[in-house]
Amino acid sequence: MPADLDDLFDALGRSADALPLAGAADAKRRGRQRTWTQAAVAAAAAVVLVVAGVGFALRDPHPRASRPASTPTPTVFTTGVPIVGTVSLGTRNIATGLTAQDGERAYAAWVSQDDNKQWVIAADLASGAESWPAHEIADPDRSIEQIVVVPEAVLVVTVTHSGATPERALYAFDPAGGVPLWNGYVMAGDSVVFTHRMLVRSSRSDGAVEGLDWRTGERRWVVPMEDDRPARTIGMRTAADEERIDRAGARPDLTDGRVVVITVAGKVRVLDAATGTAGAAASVPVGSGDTMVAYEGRLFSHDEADDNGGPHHIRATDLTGVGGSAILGTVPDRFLSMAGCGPDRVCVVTARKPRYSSTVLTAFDAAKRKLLWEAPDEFGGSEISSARGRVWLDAADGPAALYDTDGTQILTATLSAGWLDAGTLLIYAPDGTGRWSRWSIANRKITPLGAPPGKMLGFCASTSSRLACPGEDGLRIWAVG
Amino acid sequence: MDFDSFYRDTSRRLLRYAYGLTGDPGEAQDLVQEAYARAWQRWRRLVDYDEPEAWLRLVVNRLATDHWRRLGVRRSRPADRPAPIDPPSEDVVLLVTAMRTLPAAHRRALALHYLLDRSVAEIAAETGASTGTVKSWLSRGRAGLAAALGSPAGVPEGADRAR
Repeated sequence: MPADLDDLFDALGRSADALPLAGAADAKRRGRQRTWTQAAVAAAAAVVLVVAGVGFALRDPHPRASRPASTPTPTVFTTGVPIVGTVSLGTRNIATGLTAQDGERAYAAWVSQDDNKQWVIAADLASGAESWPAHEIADPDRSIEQIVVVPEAVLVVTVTHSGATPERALYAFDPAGGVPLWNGYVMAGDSVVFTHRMLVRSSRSDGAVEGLDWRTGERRWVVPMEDDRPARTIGMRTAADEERIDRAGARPDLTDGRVVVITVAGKVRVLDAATGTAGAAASVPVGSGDTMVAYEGRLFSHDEADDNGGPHHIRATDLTGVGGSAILGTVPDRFLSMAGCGPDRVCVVTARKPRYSSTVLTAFDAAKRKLLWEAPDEFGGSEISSARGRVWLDAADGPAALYDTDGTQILTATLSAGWLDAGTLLIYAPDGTGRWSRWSIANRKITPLGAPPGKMLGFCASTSSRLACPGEDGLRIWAVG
Repeated sequence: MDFDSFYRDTSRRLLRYAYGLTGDPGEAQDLVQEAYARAWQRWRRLVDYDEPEAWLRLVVNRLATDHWRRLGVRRSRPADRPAPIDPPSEDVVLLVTAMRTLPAAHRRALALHYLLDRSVAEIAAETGASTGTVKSWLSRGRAGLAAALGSPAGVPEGADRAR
């Protein structure tokens, strides 16, 4: 025995204490990746259940409305969703992949697992052919966080959680030919907003807000705010932006052209993203920062002083210069998230006592300043996305539900599902076959597409007729409409 | 309690525990990050648990014997991995080698007791075993370590540390 057990374990403890850890941000990122992976695994499991002839993969609260009149006997479908084309990525194993689309092309950015290089490629949505070949992004210290497409550029955002600076890097490419346009950086704590006019970046440390040209990355305007620095800058989202929602979720690129700067002192300044020209000004309580939403000309916030159990005051501040700030109502218990959900509407998710395991979706009318409806969500969903006033509420590790404009729950999905376009969901058929299906929200009609693919290793993007997903076989385009 | 604070306050202890269970620094780091990734996924529920840290240890226990977890998780890119560290001392190598010879229940009890300073009663509460069972795990674990480490006494020093 070389030493006393206490000494040995002390040495082991000291050795453990000397080990570096990647940090909370890394764990969160990994958690988000797990969420997607679980969905893919669940999808595969659904097919297994179908083969075994066991039950339905999707629970539908309106079975007569959405199921076929005669429920078929579960059978194995060997016919897959029609493939339009597959673009080879040229790398064998991908660690993570993200996709975006602009209606004409799909763009995928991925990390090669073998050599940890990052790449970006484009495919033609109509033909499934390669639009431009893969370009390597030489950023070995970061991983891919986001891919954004605007009319003038495709932007790949990379990020590091190691504490290295700058925290994020931006790589812009020409959407038509893939030519690299420019590179830029974003320091930790800075804000970036993707508007179709300019890329707007604000810096708390520099005390400036600036507009960058999408084609050149050059600064076109700057608004110094050194006396009262920008704490956060957000883009003005509109209901029209929601019309472009797809399988990748709400679009990060915004068409409105206004950005909203919230300063450290709580001042709100609206700037024209194209010129930096100042518009309306207002103020909000200091500290109501992270959850604020700029939507349809208003800034929605909740008073953070309420955080310890509520009630949370939901505030709407007019940013068009015609109104002031008003409390729309309150929500109890624990505030989780907030998002615009149709013209003049904001939706709030709260977790309820005593266990906080279930949530409640609450809609407010900002024009009439009143609570519209409340809908309990038994799955504990908290991630809001919306289109045409309907709300998709997703639980990070569980089922999701769709709520109609009056708060009625019209669909629950126990497996991976989501928006195909603003009026359609991509779901697993509730007939036990495990087929991918289109589900028209307006008329609740199910259109089976075929057996889902077995291998997808990244996040997909979609249009009404195309689905694009990165996988080990390449960037694959399916015909889904 | 926010996630970042929870991570900051507990991750070091969890890393000690994971290292004690696995004896492998890289494996321990991976287990810890994976456990927190799972905690992050269900944070809004976990935050209301009486012992969220115990839940993390339970996850680490399961993951330590679950090689299938890698099917669902892509390893972090090397660029995101922590920097290399100095190799462990000879004593540490001997101890982790000896620990690997023990049954999982004994390893768990020893790690909780020696690395996290948990009492017999606390280990019993966490594992759902009786205090007698925990004492047995600790006793047999120590005996197993002694055998693996070559202690002539059969029971190593420090055996009376258990409370």
